Amino acid sequence: MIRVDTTSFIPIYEQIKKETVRLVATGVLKPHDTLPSIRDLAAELIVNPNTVARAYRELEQDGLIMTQKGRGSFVAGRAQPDIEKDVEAYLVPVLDEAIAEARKFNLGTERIMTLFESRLRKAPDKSQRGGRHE
Amino acid sequence: MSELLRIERLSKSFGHHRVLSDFELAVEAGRVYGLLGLNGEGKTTLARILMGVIPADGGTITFKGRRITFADSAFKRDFGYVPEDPFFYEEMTVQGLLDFNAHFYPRWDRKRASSDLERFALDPKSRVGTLSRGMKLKLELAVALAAAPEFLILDDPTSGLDVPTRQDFLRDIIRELSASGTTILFATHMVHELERIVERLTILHGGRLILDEDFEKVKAQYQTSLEDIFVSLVARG
Repeated sequence: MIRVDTTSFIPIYEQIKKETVRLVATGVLKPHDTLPSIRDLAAELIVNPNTVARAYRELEQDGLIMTQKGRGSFVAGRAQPDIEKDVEAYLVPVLDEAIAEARKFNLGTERIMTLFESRLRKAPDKSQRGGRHE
Repeated sequence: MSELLRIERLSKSFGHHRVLSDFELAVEAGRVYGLLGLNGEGKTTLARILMGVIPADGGTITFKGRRITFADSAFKRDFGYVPEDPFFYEEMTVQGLLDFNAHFYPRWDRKRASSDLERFALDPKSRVGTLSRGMKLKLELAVALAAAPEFLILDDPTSGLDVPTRQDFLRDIIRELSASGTTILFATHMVHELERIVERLTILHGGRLILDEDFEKVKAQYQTSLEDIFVSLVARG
């Protein structure tokens, strides 16, 4: 389910967090679903258990998951808008990078918007909402 | 975090060849240290000095606050070692080798040794000489871990092994970390393995450390893969 790229300069714990948010946002993981134990996920991904522990700790601080001693970790019962805030937090740097690239070619705001919109319309919409404008 | 091991001004020469030159490192308990270095640059020499197999020419090693010397043997019960070229008594059986080692380690865990054999699919009755290279590595690891070491030194144990075996090996190290939080010094030139588990990165070049930093900081600073970082730092040196 979760995959990480250990050669990437994005810290592994960040990748694990992002992937978990993605799984929750896309409904693959639902509220109250159990997550793999730190030990199992570390073995599966072949990464240091402390890395997984850190990801889980921060996800818990962000309120996305809960950990109970002896019972493991599971997805918190959060409202959808909260999850969307997390999703947006991860997408913002991706979009910023795309905008920065476009600016390197000296594209103005209008041009970037037009380009973005045309690509967006071409891409299939797999979400459950917002398919009306396609 | 407590300091487990402190190496100060360690030096070692072989004839005119200065292999280690004022080498210094402080090791905190419970962390995974990566020691990157090119072949022939002193990783194995360092490992052998730490294991008390060869003496250093100068410098001090302090383990849990106590100075240890070449003549000391007590500390060896707390150190585990998986070398690149393990030496085995080829005629011994797998179980025989385990039993032989059990004598030297007060914390030897028979149950753990048995379950590791099973997990590695090592037949206790098979002779060591009939094992493949990958199986020998797994056996070496089983021996090292059954001794419940506080400090585990891995000296390029996975070179020459196929990818699935290397992954198996790493998984076992990870299980060990999950279960016991053993302090590990992983000396290697195989950056891909290291990249997955290292917490503190050190690079040995020219006989001493040219880098000693938290891996995350290094990655954030260089913004590239460990392979590129290593090559760029060593090429400059």
